Amino acid sequence: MIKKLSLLLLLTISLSSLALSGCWSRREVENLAIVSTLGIDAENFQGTPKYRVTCNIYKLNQAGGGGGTSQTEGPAQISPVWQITALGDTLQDAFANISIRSPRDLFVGHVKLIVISRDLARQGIQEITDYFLRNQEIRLRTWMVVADGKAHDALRAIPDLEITISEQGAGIANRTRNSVSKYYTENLNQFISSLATEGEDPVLGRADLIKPTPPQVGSEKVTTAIAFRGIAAFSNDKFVGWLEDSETKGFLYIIGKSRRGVIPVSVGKGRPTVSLEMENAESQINPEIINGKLYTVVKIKAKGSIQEQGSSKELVSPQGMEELGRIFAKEIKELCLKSVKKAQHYKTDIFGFGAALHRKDPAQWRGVKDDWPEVFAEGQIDVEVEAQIIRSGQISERIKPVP
Amino acid sequence: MVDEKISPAEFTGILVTTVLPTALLSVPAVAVGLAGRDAWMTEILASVFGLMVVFVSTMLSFRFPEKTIFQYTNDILGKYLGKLIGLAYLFFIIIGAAQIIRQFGAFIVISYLPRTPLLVSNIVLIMLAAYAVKSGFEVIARMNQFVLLIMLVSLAGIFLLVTNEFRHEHLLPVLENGVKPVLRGGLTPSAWKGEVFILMIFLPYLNQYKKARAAAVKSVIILSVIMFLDIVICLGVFGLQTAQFVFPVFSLAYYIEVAAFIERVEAVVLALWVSGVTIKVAIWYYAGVLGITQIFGLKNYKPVVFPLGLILGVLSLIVFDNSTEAARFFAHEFPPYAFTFEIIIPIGLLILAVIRKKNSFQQKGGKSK
Repeated sequence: MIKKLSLLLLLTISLSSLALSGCWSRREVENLAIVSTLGIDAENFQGTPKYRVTCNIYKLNQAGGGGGTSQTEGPAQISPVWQITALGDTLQDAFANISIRSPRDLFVGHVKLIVISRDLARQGIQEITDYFLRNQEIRLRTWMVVADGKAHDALRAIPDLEITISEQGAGIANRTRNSVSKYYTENLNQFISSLATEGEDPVLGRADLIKPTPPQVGSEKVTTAIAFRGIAAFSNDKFVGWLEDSETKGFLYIIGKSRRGVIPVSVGKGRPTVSLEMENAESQINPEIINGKLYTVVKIKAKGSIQEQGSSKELVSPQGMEELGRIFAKEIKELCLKSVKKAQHYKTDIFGFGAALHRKDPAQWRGVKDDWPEVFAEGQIDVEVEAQIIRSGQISERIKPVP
Repeated sequence: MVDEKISPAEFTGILVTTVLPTALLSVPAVAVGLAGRDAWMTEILASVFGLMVVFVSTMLSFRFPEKTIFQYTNDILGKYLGKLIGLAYLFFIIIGAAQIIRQFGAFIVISYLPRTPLLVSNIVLIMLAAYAVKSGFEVIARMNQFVLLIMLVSLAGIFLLVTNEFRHEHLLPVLENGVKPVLRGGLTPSAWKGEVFILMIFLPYLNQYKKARAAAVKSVIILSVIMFLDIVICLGVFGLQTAQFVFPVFSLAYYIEVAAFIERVEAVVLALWVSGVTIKVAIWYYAGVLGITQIFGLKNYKPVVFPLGLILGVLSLIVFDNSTEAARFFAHEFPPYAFTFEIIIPIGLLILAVIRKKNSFQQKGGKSK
């Protein structure tokens, strides 16, 4: 019995060693070219339109490792990413053209940021989103931004604080977004789901290419850096125009996704001297169609706190706070109306008024949905804001200099 | 001939696993595709249908508590017609098992191992299931209690972890296009839930057959709650594009990211689903083996296991040509095909049995005719 059992055990062990040698379609990490950021441009090559795909690929033995030992000057330092770009008729074709120069298999499962160029976004990005959804490696949480310029250049920007531009960009898209509210961006899934919603147009973040001044210490070259500001408004899958940072705040207030951020206001006349901190706000959209025209009142309940008080007035009193609340409300209203006006100008319903109408009254929506962009553009949209200042920071009144 | 016995709780578990693993993957896309935002209502229809199936099949089976449907069709319809109906059921079950294997193989290939041939994943699944079948029904039932619990807990985990992405706006407006799309969309989930008809095969294994109805009703309720959540959450997170995903629940698991460290949990999901589907296949496989044994009057079921495994392996490759054909089949042809076996034939059998006053008790107390 014991002998039989041990024989069986031996057989099991030796058989399982067959399976230990590896998997069928194994992909060892040293054979992968792990892509961190993707940039997609539209280009004309000898008269035919093509995609230009740019990949930032981690150099695995360099990214994050070592450091500190080399004393060489900035430019001579080896970059932790390998940037490679290629043209192709379709996206997959462009990837294939990248692969012919890559000794390792491209792996896009770790892409954190997809940068799309402005010109390509203008032509429509349906094809791109389809490709990324179909691909089983790309994650639905990947951030997408529209570069104000070429995606290729955006990927060449310097990652000031992080090691790669992917961390830099994804960090801005994800982390700092909620503390400034000057830009807003969506991930692949959010973009697709507003694309698929009737009466709602998607938005993406805007990656601005800037020349930081002064340039990096020790380098004479003028470099590019990316900054996120404002949003790119889409009409269906086509980019139609930007919203500036202040308009973005209005946009966020209307859709009820405003987070922290600062609104400078002026008390009385003159330049803005008081900084008010935005807190989470609620909004209610209640669209109606009367005689084929859209009427909406957006009701916003906002809260704020004083962060900076440079005006000569005494504001931290019940009356002062109340007055400040009124000024705050007026300012928010202006921001909102500005963003509405811009969106109406672009004829794109990024706020989802149409979707709100659809939810509220499907019958009315059916009547206007075919020419919704026009109905939206001519709609009468008003904003009512109720704002309250609830805190004043560590001190109450400002400290007056005594002569 | 049945010497293995399972408890009512195990019976409930078996019925849940008979339906759940593949329904979870495939139903949301079909339901949203056909019923749009109101897809969650299709579950109401499906659970009503499921209860109907439970009542009809238990009423029929209670007349012959020691017999499976392969046996009592002979009592009701006579030897030849009875065997014919039995063979039809056998066909349904074997094709069903092949479809399950195919679906899961396709899932593995599309989502995890794109370069592995379908045959490999199918064979692995069949081998595991064959081992379970050889071990006996009691073993399957016990194993199922264990796996099902883990499956449900992990599923609850997925659902909880995506709730912060849930947008109730995706579910509104309610009933925009009337009830017609809901009725149409309800057919596929109903057909799926109707798979609990398999209790007509496994009833003799239950240690107290009178508790079968309560156990089956319980399983339909559990299934309805899970499938309802499944559809609602997929819809709330992905909106109408749920219909375009081949496996929405998988995409859901793929989408999870909480506090920047709970992410990429889909590998866990895969591990649990493989075990769930293995048992689902084992159940159907066992039903097929039992059918062959009883229809052809064999004494022992074990010699049938291996040949049927070969048949399933081949069938699973040819049962669908490609994934769109499978999706089309489940949306359009599957409901009428499944309804025939799940409720129409049982109702017919029940009526005949009542008219001809057939049941086991009578026969025991001396032949009345």
